[in-house]
Amino acid sequence: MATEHLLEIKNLWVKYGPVEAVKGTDFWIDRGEIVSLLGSNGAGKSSTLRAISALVKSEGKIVFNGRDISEYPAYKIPFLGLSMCPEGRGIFSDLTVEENLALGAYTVRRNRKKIRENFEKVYSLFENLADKKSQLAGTLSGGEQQMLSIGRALMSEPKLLMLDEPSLGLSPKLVDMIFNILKEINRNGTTIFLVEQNAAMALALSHRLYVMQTGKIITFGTPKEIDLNTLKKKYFGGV
Amino acid sequence: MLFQQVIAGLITGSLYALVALGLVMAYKVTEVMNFAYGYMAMISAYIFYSLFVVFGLNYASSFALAVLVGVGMGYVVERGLLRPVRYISPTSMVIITLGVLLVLQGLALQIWGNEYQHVPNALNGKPLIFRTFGGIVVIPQQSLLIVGIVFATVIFLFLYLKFTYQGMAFRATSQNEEAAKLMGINTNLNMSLSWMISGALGAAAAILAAPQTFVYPDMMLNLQIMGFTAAVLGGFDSIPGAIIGGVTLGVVDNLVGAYLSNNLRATFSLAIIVAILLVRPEGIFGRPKSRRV
Ligand SMILES: Nc1ncnc2c1ncn2[C@@H]1O[C@H](COP(=O)(O)OP(=O)(O)OP(=O)(O)O)[C@@H](O)[C@H]1O
Ligand SMILES: [Mg+2]
Repeated sequence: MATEHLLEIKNLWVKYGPVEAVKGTDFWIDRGEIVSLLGSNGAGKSSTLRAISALVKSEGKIVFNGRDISEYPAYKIPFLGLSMCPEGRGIFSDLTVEENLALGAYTVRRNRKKIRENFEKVYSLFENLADKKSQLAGTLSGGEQQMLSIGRALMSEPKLLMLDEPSLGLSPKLVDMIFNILKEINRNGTTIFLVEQNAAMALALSHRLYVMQTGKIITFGTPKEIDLNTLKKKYFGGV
Repeated sequence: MLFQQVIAGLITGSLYALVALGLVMAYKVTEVMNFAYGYMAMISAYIFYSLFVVFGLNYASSFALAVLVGVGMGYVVERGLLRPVRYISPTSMVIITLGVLLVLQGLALQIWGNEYQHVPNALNGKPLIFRTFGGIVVIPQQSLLIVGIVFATVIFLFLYLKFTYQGMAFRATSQNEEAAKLMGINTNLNMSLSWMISGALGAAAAILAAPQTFVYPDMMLNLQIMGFTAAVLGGFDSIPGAIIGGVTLGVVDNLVGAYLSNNLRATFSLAIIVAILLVRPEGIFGRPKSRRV
């Protein structure tokens, strides 16, 4: 049990009709790590995350916490301790902040005590949200919505938290804040799988990184092993 | 006279509200306007008629069984007919409900013919009579029953949707299906459930209305139109909206019938919808959609 990976992906394929978005990827994530998946637009990063969460159909093997979840329907996966903040945040805009967070705890809804504790944890992590409990989520600022999305994912105390471009559209200051919070969440024992275009931040935060291009993992390693400048030139067209 | 008309309007209005409530319930979660709604309810009314009048089962059991058939039809239509095309061609779902309407209408004609069947009231005791504002108000017990059932249903649904986890899961499913799945919500099950609840509400409305409308294949046509109107007035996805829409429509409808012309009732109601939608396209209670693209 202890030696196996928390998440292991083998020969993952995602196809949208004739479009092959992910083409036979293999990778793994160990307990306690922060792992980033980098790649340019259209590389297949979101498709990979969505396949793991079963939001899209995929072929291949997905093993989470010792269990083969390749055939699981999407709604069963969070019960195993795997949460995701989707691209575009995926908040419930016509529900209040508090209701959004409560839904984050749907998998542990019978445990009132735990829910109360997690509300406190999330509100202390994101003080902005604490002041806006009864505000409709759709009226929050972009940064606050991102915090809500992360906070909501934490309400179920996941073993693995997957985030799809949490820095997108945020000011540098907010990006800093989100990344510090991710560090703290990780220190408290949550494994993190991060999809990012912001390569500098990902390098600063991650224990390991994978780089994806046109549906395949082309290189991986620790931040030291992966040189940002070559990475930029080679795969991001010098962005 | 005026007061009596208002009371009568409130009573018809609560029936409209019950019909609207079922439409809204299904729409809220699956975003499908169910044009077959009244015809599904009509089948339940026939089931009730057969059990109660023909076979002589008691009222409560006949009612319960007929409502159960409504629940079953809701499930079958959602799960069997709509779900398969949901992600392929959402617009065709509405057409499918129209198809269901025609099939059920034909089926009812085949099985029961087109005679008007009489169904008695649930309650036949002495009507409530009281004098106020210089007039006499007569309220039949059946009407009180309808108002009571609508009232209880509304309060229950409102509290259920607002304060339980299952209710929140319904609202989450309707707002963002994908995000709801990520929360661990079985969105498919919720879609079925919403249609089952809707089927039950429609069946109840049809059985309660049957003593006045009689039971025949098109018995729910007028009620369905009024239910739609009430739902649209209320914003189509708001429970309180459906209720207020239904009651308002019932009162206006009765007043027009009493003071202008009985023939103008339906026309006037439709004119009201158009007028309100011109001013407030999202309905009286609807919020403009803030959906993310
Ligand atoms: N629903 C879909 N239908 C058809 N093609 C799709 C769909 N979703 C994604 N694709 C295609 O799959 C490929 C990978 O998309 P994906 O969203 O996974 O990329 P990404 O790495 O997340 O990109 P970005 O950084 O821009 O978010 C792209 O070519 C995209 O056009
Ligand atoms: Mg993406």
